[in-house]
Amino acid sequence: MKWLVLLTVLLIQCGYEFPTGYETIDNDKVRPVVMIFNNHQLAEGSPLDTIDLRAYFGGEKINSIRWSILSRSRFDAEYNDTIPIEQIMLTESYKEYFGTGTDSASMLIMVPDSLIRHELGGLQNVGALIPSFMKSYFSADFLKKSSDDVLDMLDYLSNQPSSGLLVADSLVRTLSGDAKIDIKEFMPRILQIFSVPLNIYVVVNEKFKAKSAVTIRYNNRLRYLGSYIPVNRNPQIQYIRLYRINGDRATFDPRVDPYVDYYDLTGFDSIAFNKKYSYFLEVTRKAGLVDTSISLQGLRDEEHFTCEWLLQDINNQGTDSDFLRIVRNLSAVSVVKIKIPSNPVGRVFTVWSIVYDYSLGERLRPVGFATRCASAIIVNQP
Amino acid sequence: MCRVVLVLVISCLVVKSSEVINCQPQLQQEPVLIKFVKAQLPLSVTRLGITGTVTMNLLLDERGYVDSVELINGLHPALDSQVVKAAFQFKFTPAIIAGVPVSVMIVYQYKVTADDICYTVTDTVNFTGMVFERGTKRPVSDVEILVNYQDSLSDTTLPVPFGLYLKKIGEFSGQQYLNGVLSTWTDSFGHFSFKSLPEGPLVLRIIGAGYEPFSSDQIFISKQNRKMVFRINKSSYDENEIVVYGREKNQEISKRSLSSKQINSVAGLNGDAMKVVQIFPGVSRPLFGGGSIGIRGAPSWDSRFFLDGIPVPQLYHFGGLKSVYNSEALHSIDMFPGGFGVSYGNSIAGVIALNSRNAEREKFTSYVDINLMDISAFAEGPVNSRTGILTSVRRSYMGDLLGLAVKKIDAIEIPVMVAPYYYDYLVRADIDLSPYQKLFFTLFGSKDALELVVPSVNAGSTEVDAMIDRVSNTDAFNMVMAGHDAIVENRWENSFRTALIQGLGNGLLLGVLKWEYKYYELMIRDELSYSISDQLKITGGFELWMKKFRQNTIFPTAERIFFRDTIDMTSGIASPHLQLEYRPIPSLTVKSGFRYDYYPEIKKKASLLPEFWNYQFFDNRIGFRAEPSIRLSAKFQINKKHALTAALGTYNQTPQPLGYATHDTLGNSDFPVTKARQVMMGYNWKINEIISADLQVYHNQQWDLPVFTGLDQLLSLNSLSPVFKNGGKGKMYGLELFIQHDQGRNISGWISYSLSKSKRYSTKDKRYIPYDNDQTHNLQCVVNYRFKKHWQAGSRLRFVSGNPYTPVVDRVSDLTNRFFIPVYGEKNSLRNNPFCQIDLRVEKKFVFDKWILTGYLDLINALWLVYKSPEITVYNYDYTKKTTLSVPVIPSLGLKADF
Repeated sequence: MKWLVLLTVLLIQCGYEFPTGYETIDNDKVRPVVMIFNNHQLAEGSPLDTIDLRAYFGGEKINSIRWSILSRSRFDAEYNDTIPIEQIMLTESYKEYFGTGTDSASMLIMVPDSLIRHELGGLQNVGALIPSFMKSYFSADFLKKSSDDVLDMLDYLSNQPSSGLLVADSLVRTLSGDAKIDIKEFMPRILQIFSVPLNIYVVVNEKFKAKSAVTIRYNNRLRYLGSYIPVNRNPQIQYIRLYRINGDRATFDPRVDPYVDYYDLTGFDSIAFNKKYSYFLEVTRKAGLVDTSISLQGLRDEEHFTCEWLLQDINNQGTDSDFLRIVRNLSAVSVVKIKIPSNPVGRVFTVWSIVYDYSLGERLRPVGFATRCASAIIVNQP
Repeated sequence: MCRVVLVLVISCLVVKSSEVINCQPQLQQEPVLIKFVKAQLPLSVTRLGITGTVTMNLLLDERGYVDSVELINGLHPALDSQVVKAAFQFKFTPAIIAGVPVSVMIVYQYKVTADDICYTVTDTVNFTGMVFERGTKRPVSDVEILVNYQDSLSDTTLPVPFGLYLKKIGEFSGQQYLNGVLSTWTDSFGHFSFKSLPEGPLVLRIIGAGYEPFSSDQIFISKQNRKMVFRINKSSYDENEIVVYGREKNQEISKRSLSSKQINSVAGLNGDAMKVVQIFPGVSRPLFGGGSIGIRGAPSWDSRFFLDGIPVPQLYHFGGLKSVYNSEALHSIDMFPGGFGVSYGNSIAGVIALNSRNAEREKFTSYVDINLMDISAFAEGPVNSRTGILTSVRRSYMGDLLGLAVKKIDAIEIPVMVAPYYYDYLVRADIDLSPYQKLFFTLFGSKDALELVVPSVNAGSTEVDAMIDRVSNTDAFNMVMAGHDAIVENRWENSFRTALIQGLGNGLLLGVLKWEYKYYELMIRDELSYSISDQLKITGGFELWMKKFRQNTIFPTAERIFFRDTIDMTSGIASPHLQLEYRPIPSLTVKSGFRYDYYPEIKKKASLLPEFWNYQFFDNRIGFRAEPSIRLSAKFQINKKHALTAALGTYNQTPQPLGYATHDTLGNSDFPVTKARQVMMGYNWKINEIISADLQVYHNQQWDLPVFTGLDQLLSLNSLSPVFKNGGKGKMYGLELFIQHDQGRNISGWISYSLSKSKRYSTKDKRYIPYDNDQTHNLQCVVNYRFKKHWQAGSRLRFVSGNPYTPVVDRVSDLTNRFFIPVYGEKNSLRNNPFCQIDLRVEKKFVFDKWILTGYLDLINALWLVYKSPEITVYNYDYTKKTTLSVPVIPSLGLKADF
């Protein structure tokens, strides 16, 4: 562990970077940008939910996309034990989009009713699913229950929302063998333990591989029990805004620093270039609910947001100094600088902003994503 | 004192001298001088330096009194008159003829000697001095002090001529005169004295073995006692004089040793004892110049590290920056790369033994060392004639400086709240209870700490810690140790050690990982030897080590589940051992030993019989809770120059990494003891007095190794699966050559070469594959050269095969976690380019009267400008490109002042 700390400090202090930047999209490679799972704005699904999956790609032109699904959590490079996509994709829902800025594909998938049971059912002792350091949170009687007993309860409650909180409370007490148990502590933990990922694999142009996962759990169906059952929504992007700042500035904060003007990038825009300015991009989320999560320890925590930027210089490739690129600080932030080359007029670029939430501490917490893409050409300032 | 020669001549009339004349009448009794009176020679006479014989006729009356004196042959009138005057006071026995006393005339020769004229010269001390070693203030004994005068007329008060005077005082005790030079010697306190030196300027020279000749012509001697102090230069200040008390404890057959003198002369290692160990053949090259010591291809945790027989909690500051134990306080380092005896256990690879040295008993010494990293102070000296004390303290300041610099660099954006720092301290007291009983106490401790704040990083969870923008780490320990060595009647020897260690630490990594730990260790070790005869010696001992360790860890895994755990374990070892040492003939030594190791943390039954391999044909795991091992070794001294050695033994250790392999969640609490068999054969050749060679071939087979299955196991879906599983196998074999050139007139150094293979069995591939530490070739050459005027230069060359690594053959973009996942190919199937390094060191000593200033410059990895030796292979963000990282040139500049 000491080495881990030292290595981290070393890498931070030395400004260690990989040979090519993650923020730069090469023209000769497909770069999977993001997969967004949208279940009526939720980033998760319950059995029998229909989820809208949309995948975005940048970089090289796409010729072929091959999908597969794996319900196991561990990545298997050989794609064994996959589920044919057709089995869960709604008929004729699959579409591919090819535009100037980005390519994407979408489909509707319906979560199989038996997915969680298929993964976690059949165990004699539910304790086998619970990490040893968490077992003290559960009664000995409960640990001896079979996983099917628990799934039966969850299935029943999720399919009988009208049964209400009292029924749920009674079932939990019966199942746990603990008359004093607090359902508000018990249920979030159980829901985490009985969560499974649904992994989506994609191979683009027969060589570029990507995967993403949506968490399948009962939370969506049990929201009626109260707000202590957390769900996670996808964030939404309001705009990508380009600021022009006087002088050569390394950092910029739109809230406090003066700027010359700004453009909201909407599709394909023209950017007037003048070398006396610095150019910054800002992404802004739409105001909305900030979700919470509840860890296995029962702590409630608000989610955080990360903004990630990707940029493709259509005219150039490589990492030479004449390359348009994103300049960011140590972590992904909502404001980044675009490094403009010495002679940029006529250069076309595409920029992606990906916003996603995270909250550590909750097992298999779904990740909510939003993305916005914009392209622009740099022109001389009149 | 004067000598008088009497020659008796009987008058031709009365008597005869028996020697000269024989005439009538017959003399019945010759006169015999019964009262002699010395002539009182005046200064005016003695200054002339006249010596010789004054011949007189003495007329004696019948009573024997001198009646008259007739001068026959004189030397000088003034002298003659004094002699005649003295002669009148002589008294003889009467001469007798026919029974009657008679008057006779005799011839008397009065000899005037140097003593007669030097009678006024007395031995009065008038010049004393002390001779010290320049710089160290150490008194110099047994050096010769020579004085001579160039002006013989400088002292006009001398009672005798100058030459005669020097000759005379040269006869005084403690000084001598030869060829115009007076000389004396210093005693054991460096003290000397001259007696009755003439007044005036003299030339003084000091000559002694191991010291530069000293000369001074600015010394004026007077009648008053002149006291002076002289400081002379040693021929070389690079040899550390180490006083070793007692016998050498361990005479292991496979042992290799480095003295503190050798430790301090290796380029690129700053005299850091533990790093110098890395130059031994068989020690793997650690990455990035770190401190990991892997012996014969095994990981570091397969070897054990002792300080005076006690396991050391921590070897280095910050994992390899600098040894925690001050190298100046070490006497030597022993390395047992394999095939070691039963004195050591809980290791399946090798043993490194640090032997601390006794505190100085004769005088106080101290030094201050300032270099780019830290400042240290060292002092030692006697408390009384039987007790000495040694202290050392060191504190780094590099981090403080770095912190100040970083605070002013906005671009880095890392405010440093607590700059990285380390310190260590050492106090050792040695007490001689008797010539055969020694006692020592050691208080020793260390701390490493850092804390950084990275405000722009907020990836962590407040559930781990509220400080999600912090990176911090603290490790500290304190230990107190006592030792007692006794020899009884030259047959019994006992060595006792005990220590209590307390350690603690904590760390935080940006709110995603947090840990804190605390432990206590108790160690008791005793070894008793009895020499039954010159041929047979029996040694028995036991080792008791208990460690109470508690660690709390919390971190969220990639799937956002917290790993929150407490390791609360008691581990240790309780081991009796017995060894027989037999010498059937003087040239052959055979040792056989037996050892039982009990590990309280192991639940599995131990072997019934010592395992030389993993016995499959019967169930051997039906023994008690203690694991047996048996070890044999032999040395055959063919002649004074050539010797053959061999060793065979079984070894075991608790599953490593300690605390994790047997962890309920991460490992398997039912792990068996890890076992090994080692075979070694060697050949020693003492080429001449200063050059020797040591060749060893070995084979080390290991089984029941914990196998690290990878983090993907840890991050599996539903529960934390063990990341260590049982059943691992490994084997290492190779050849090692060690050629040592001890300090000659100017040059010293050594060549160390290892040809080795280190492999682990891959259950996936069903074959042995290279292990991470597999370095086929490892060549190291060290040379050190002394120039005149206390200049010294050294160099170290390292050539090591590149480390194996696992190539990435494919990649998958993980769009949930926002990184690329590598798909690895065959494990360790590729190898980095060879590693080549050249270190240079230049050192200059400035010797002042009472202290020495040493300036040194180390250039680590000077070859980097030409060849960038790869340390590790790294990939870019999507694993499509790879490159290697290397360590650049690292200069190290330092000053050391010895007082």
